[in-house]
Amino acid sequence: MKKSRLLSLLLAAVMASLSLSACGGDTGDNTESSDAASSTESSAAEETSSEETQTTTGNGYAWEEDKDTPVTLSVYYPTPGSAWEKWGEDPTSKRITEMTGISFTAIAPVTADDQKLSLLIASDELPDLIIGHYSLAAWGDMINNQQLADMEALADQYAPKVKELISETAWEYARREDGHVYNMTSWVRSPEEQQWVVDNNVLIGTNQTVIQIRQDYYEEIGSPEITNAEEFMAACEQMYQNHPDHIAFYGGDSAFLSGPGPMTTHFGISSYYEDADGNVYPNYRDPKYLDMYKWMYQMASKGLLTKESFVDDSSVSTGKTKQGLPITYTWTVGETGKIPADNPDTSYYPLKPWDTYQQVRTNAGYMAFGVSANSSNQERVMDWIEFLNTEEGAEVTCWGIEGDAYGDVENGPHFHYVDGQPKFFSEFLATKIADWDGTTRASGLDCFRECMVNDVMGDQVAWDPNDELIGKMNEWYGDKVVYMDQYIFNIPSGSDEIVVKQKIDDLLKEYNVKMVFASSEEEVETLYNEFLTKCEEAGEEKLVALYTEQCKENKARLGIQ
Amino acid sequence: MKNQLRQNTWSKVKRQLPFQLMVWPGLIFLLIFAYGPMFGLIIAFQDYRIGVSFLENPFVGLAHFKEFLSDSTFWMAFKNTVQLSLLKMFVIFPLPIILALALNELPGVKYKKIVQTCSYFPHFISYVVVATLWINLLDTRGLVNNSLLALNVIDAPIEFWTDPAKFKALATIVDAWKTVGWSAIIYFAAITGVNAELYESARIDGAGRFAQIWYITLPSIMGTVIIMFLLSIGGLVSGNLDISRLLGNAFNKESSYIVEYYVLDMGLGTLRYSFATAVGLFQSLISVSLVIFANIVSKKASDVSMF
Amino acid sequence: MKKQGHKLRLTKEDHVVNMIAGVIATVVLIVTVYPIYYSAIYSISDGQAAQATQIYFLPVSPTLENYKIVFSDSMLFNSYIMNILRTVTATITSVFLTVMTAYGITRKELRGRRVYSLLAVFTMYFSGGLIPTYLLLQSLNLLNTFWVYILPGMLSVYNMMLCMAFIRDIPETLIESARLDGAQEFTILLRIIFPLSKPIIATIALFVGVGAWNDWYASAYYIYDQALMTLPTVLMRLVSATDAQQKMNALIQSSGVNVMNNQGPTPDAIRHATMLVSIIPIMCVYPFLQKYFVKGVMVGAIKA
Repeated sequence: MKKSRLLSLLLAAVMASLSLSACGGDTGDNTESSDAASSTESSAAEETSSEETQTTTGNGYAWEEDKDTPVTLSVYYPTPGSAWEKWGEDPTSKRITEMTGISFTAIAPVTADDQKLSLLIASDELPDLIIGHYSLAAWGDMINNQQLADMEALADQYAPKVKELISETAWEYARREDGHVYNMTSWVRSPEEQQWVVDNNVLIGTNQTVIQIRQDYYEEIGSPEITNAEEFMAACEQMYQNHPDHIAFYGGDSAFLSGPGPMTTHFGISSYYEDADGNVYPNYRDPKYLDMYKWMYQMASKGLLTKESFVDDSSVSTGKTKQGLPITYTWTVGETGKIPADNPDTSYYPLKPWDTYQQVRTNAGYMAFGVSANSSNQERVMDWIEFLNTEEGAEVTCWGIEGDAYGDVENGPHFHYVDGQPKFFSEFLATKIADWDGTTRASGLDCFRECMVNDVMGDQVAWDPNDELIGKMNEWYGDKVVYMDQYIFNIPSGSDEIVVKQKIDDLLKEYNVKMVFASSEEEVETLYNEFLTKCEEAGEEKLVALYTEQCKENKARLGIQ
Repeated sequence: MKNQLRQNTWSKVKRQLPFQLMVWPGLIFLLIFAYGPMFGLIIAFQDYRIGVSFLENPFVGLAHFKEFLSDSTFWMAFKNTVQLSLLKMFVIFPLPIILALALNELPGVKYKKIVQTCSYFPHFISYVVVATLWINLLDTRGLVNNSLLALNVIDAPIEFWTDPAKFKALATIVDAWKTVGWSAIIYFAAITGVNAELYESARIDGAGRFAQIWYITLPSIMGTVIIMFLLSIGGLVSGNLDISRLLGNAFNKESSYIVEYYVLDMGLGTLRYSFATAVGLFQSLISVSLVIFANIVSKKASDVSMF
Repeated sequence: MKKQGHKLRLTKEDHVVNMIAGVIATVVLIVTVYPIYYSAIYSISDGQAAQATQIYFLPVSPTLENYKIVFSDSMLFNSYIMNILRTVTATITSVFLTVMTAYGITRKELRGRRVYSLLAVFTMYFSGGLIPTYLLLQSLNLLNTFWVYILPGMLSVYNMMLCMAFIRDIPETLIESARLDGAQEFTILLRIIFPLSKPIIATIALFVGVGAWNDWYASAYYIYDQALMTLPTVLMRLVSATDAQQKMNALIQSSGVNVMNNQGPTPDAIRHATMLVSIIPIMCVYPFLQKYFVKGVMVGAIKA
């Protein structure tokens, strides 16, 4: 769950208004709508005018035609305690019901596992709409059991506009081997969107991996420039000598619990390693991997990296960073500005990336959704999907009520359009920052967006392109991020490969601490080789075969060189 | 059973009837809700996929059993599970009996009531909270180490959680602390049932307090003690996942990793229900064999038995 | 049962025994009260502050914010009622069934008792697992009904074993004499076995009641209707949701606008508060049951 949250936030922070204008353009029924760059300005004008005409003529959307027949749809939602489970209690869901006639009743697990979904699958009692992380293994089972409807066919039948509203890229990424689309992933970026992100240099999100450093201790040693692992180690040594009761280098939020975590990014190691013959291995086969562990071993042998980093759970490690115990720690940009308890006059701030720094990401998407094949409400589910991908839907779900001046949290107005782009009123933003949970709960904004594929209007909710920190991080890290969509892999549930992967993950967890806390550098190498041998014994080749094959397929399918 | 009944004469049947009527409602519940789902055990011999009916999955024979029986990680987990259970059986098991006996000897009735009530508090505290509390207390920067350092008892912090040699002792302490008060309740009840006249006559015979405990209280609750022990034998090959997960880490894995954890990693976590079921079935078979064996021994030695 | 009221001179041995018992009791008292105390102070502390300072003895930045969040859950009141209903029903039905079955099985007259007890013991070690159980409950139409809380666990074999151990110690003469007076078997069960088994009934009532009160499993997997959700499930969901929310906030707060908040609830603090909200009522039941553990019930019965 944690990862998906991070991903969502990352994307929320970096995505932007490109398709906002696309939605605006969609009021006509041509396909030029995805040509966004040119229509940004006109969309503002269209927006205001369409709102007036909407109530009388409508836009010919299926959800508008059906809105007078109330319906309650069932939905599986993977996170416990969400607003989905309390549909109708917040103003946003009420507004949605008013506009579309659709209400929801949610089935959600109580702990964040997917056992409950397994039960629904086993008993063939799937709800009308199923929402889950795109990498959820159970998608494969549902497709195998023919429990999911072909969404393209449903769109043709019930809501033809969905096909245009959702980008072609998203359809292509979602298409399975048999040519059908059983589930759709949100946050898949079309080439235009990808280009926009690069053009506007907003690649960096709040979950960008960085090293945070206590500014007071850093200044004590003269804030030397740090460009690589060795210089960092030297600086740590110096600061630790000054403050031996602190932790020189720490893994924030249990970063090292199951492996080297963010260190691979600092050392420029991708998630996968492709050899000259095009075979794709898990990243530990990268020659740089051993160097990384040798460095970590040195850090540990000098007392700069302690066992704590490999033991503390999320709650303990948050506590330690709040106490200001770590002099430096690696986690995310989001940690910036934390004030250590022992010195209120300083804070943590990210270091510049090392020369080796490189982060590989994929455009795999985030949350996926599918429609039950047995559902008797398929038509209305399609209405819902269509609704969310229209401007009206995005507006009411993410932005609330438009107006000239701020009203209140529940009834709005919450936002207005500036140069064709939605902007929250600053008063609303202030309320929201003061009490994020409370505001979200009271307004219901941003809670029901999982089926928004071109999730765009909502993107600026958590994103201020003018923020100084984000700007700086973009400058530092922007060109260190690489997208490699050939590495979007899909390991079927219950397969041999998934077992192999699990075994290798367990081995890594074990050898991770063995290598870092080895007795000598030679032993690190011995242990590393032992680890590789054990991976081979665990059936590594099956996994490599799967990666290699899927990588080739992806390259062909997505046209990657 | 029906056949046996038919062979009996009417009067015998009539005498049987009330007793049969007493046990059958309970047995019916067991047949439906405990035996009903047991058809699911068949998936231990299949490659079960969720949503496919139980008979349509491909049979794979003993493949899953072979997989874990030939996996050294499983045997490591198995060894740890058994060792932790043995500690539980021989170190933790007597503690609630001692507590119950001690409270029974306590002179003040009010104090006794208070202690009795409080002793079962830990049972109510969730393992997550228990674990967080203990982890913080025994952290290298926690209260215990800081106090010991301040008192100059130690020069460097004791690594409680990263030392595999200490894990089993710590796990046993946490387990004991959480369960002793609760387990003592059954012995309180048993001691309550002891006939007070026995103490009177023993005292007249000049028996001291220790002698009374040894010759009256203990023998009187022995039936309960033996039943509790027999029940605990069945748990020899199963462990406490909460403790292992929450207190275990990469450093102490070699002594904290147990079978339940292995099942979670290799079975349920990857939705391999068949594999998980196979391991579970293996554990159950061992448990039942042990219990049957122990029951036979107990019946011969003490005339107390479960069946 | 010992009578301390006797005006006997205390011997040296008495002093030793009293002292040992006193020491054990006091150690147990301290060790077992502390964690509840710890949870209590944590639950009234500001979550963030508690995380930053490691609290052990006193709360930091005392606040009722954590409880406010717990009590703001719209399902809380309803789930409380549901929990009480469920616990009371389960306890009464299960205790009755368990004692009756246990007595029946201990009777030497019962034909097939070996088979029956073996059948019962088996179920302690073999179970079909979550999915088959779910499918069974589905086919019995028990899913999403109140009865799914009561029926599946109605006979606890473990409790039955405890009960059997106790009943075996009831003197056979009592039963024989009742039978000679012309009592029916069911009358013996109700008039003799039940009253004589008060300590064990109190014990298993406590076991069943506490188990039912704390159980989140049935509600989490077998119930979809919000109105039927029980307290632990609702509270667990609340903790999970805070957990997820917290992770989100950590990122959001510094994105866009750079505001760091060192105050506010954390999942840990909420966890302590929810725990206390849920366990304090059930913990209060014990003192009422306690009289069955300190009086010589059996003695009275024999003399009467």
